[in-house]
Amino acid sequence: MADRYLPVLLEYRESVNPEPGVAQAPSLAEQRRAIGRLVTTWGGELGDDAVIARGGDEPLMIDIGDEIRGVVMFSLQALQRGPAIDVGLAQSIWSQVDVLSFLVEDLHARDAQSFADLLDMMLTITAVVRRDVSPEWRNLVLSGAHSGPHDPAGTKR
Amino acid sequence: MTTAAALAEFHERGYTIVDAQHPEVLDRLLGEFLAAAAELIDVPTDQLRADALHDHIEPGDGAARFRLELTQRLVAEHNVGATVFEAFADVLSGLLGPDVLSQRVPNIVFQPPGDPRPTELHRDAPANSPYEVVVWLPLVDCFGTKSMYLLDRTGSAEVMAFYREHPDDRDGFSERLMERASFVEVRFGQALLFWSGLFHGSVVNTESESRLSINTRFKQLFAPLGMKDPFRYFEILHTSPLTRLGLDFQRAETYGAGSMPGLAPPH
Repeated sequence: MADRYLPVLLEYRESVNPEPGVAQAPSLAEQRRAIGRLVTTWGGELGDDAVIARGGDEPLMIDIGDEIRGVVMFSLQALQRGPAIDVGLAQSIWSQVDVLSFLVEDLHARDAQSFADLLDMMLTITAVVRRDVSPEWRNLVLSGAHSGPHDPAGTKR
Repeated sequence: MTTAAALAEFHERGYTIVDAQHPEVLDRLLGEFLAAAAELIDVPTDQLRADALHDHIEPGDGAARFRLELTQRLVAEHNVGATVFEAFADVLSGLLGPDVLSQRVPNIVFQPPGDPRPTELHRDAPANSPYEVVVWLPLVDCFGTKSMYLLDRTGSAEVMAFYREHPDDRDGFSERLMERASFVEVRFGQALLFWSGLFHGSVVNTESESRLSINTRFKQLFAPLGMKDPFRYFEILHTSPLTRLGLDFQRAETYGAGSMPGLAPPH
């Protein structure tokens, strides 16, 4: 029997895709078909259920049955909450499956190391985004107070 | 040129041309490119020269298809970004520090003589982060129109200021651009390292040889992002011992259980 995968689809808030050159955001049916094609290349198949993520501040609720081998999300945006990625949820999902994939980003965790690498990206990018959008950071950059004393190449402004 | 001199030049001009710290790494990389190219165009590797690839590939669509297939092949089989970083590790580490993101899919450019698709004038930032360094690595000796042109830090700032003041004066913009642009001469074994805020581009290659080159980007792990999706564009190449401790700590805190099931020791 083929391995079963749970698709997580993303309900885009606007009908226009932010991706350049693409007129419309993919529908839920299109996303499911795309994920189906991907898991077919792995010799797997989709389960009957699908989870729909709404992004933004709405938390993703996901129930993973015992028969599910892996979770394939259409986009990492499904794990997004505000400016951050819900890293705890990613860890929780990983503890229940063997494969965690993100189709748009072409990211696939299939073993402990590849999941650790993915988690490192999630943690650092989340930290960077949180800092970049903060007023404190903007003030620091605008003040020019970032020129520190360490200047091995003698290039300090 | 010493590493310190290269870093100082990079800061002053926005770019520097440096010799590979490990030229043998580039010899290996060129060998891998030629082996992949030989398979794609069905020519024995020992009969293939990178600057004579146009003898086997049609310009235009043929060149574009070859470039795409070569990229797919090399990205699947090699970590090109890691190899490029290794060849110029001292200068790149001086620019970026120990925590480094590397472009997941490097750009490979094949520009045979007369190919009608040069790279239009542009600058990478702000679509890319202004905290990125571009490594332009030719796999052949590049000179004249076979190379690329760029404006240094001052020139880029000047033409940008002109554009802001005269957004409709295309002739004036082009005039200033050509006054400030210069073609760079970069031999195989060297790389042009330039800041993402510099204007650059290429023209139709009117030399008699092909250009085969890589351009790829590196960014400090915690530096501000550009507009491109970092998960699609970058992967972590290096982390410092301190950053690894911090990440381990955060993982454990987030999971709330001291350690996470199924996680291997840190890389």
